[in-house]
Amino acid sequence: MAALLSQSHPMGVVRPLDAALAPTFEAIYQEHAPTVLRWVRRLAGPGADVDDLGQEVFLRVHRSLPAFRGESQVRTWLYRIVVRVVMRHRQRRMPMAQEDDARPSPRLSPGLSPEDELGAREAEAILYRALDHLDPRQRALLVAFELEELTGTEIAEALGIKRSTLWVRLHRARLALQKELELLHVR
Amino acid sequence: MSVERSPLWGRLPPVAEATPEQLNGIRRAVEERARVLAARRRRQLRLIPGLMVGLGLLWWFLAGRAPPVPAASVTALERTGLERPARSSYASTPAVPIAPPPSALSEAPPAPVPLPVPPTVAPVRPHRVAAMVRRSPEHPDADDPEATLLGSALKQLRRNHDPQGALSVLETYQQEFPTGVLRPEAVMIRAESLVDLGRHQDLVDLLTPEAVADLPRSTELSLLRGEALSHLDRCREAIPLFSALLSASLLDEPAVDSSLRERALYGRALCRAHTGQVAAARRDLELEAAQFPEQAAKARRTLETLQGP
Repeated sequence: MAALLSQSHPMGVVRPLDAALAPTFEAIYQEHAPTVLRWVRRLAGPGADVDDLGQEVFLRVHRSLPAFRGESQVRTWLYRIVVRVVMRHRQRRMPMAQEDDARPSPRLSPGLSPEDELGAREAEAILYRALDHLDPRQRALLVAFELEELTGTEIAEALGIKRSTLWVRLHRARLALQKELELLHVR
Repeated sequence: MSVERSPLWGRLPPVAEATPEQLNGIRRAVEERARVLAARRRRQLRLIPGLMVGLGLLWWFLAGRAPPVPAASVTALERTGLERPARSSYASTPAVPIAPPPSALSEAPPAPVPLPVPPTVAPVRPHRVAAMVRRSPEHPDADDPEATLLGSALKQLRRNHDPQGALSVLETYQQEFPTGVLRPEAVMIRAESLVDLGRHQDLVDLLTPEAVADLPRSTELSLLRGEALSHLDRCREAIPLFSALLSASLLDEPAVDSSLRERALYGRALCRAHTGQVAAARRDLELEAAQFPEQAAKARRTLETLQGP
């Protein structure tokens, strides 16, 4: 079967017939777009233009898809792209951070009571203010683990770190976040 | 000591699901941007042949002649540790032990003395080949199938670093255009591919004196033939070639002269040493050190080797 699923590469290298098996952009978009937008929102924090960042992510997906060799899961590949796009965006907008942060966050669940909504807004604002002071990789790790509940293997693969060091990194990231929250007088 | 998860994580509001309109809008925008980028890339690719032609013409008008040949080739002496090898596809060729010259036989130990072996062949540089392809007055059109095929061979060679692939394309060229007007350029690309592959014998077979005489840059190609011959231990055939190249009548282009002359001198010196003409080899190396200061250190190191036991 493997032979049937193989074809001769123009350069003489026999490789799997992954062209037929590889996911198309359309399929990836259909299946993962909502998740990707949620990741973008979670990573970028309140006030970010999720649509613009989502476009940037999927543009990169579109461009990189021919080179995607299926060595990692689509999900972890996408998370890696999201992390890069968001971190780059954050680096660029740093000087305007105050202005961006002043924008109201439009995305709260309509089911929340006004008090809950206020509390959630406060919690979000404090948490992301603390996250802003963390190393971008720590931020990506915490969001992936604490919010998105990706598995250890997925996180290690998406962030390009060794599985064996993941928990140490998570511990350090939590410690760093705790310190930042203490500086903001929040436990 | 483990650090607990911050309770703030649990108090974050859920992120609202993306609406179908939002998803459709993003997809349309991505597709549009991808189309624009692809069109821009296509436009840029179309500019490349024009740029190449422009650069070739600029060079042609500014210099009025060919660009200089690259620096002298790597020698087997260098490979034996006397000098670090320069970039060359021949760098991996094993050194050939050579018997000492007759004058040294009486004092030399019975084991063969590693004397200089022939110089290696310096590769024909791609920009020169490309320039020649573009310069052909019969082929101003880059879309010409013959020129396109040669361009493909050149791409295999230079961009993909696949000389074998380039040779395959040249085989196709040979079948499709047996009497093509770009044959001289095809020969140049073939020569460069053979240099990259270290196929000295094939190079010698390709660059016969008759064939070289009809080609542009016959001086350089003759030098390549000489260097390939010396690689094949055919120094007695190579020395006359180097000598011919060193004559003023052949080297009438000052800028090309310099590097070609240096290579020819060095190649002849090593070949002379190889065939036991140590005094003549020494003269060539002294001349090289005097005339080419940038190569003086190399020449002197080789000289010291010649003066050894």
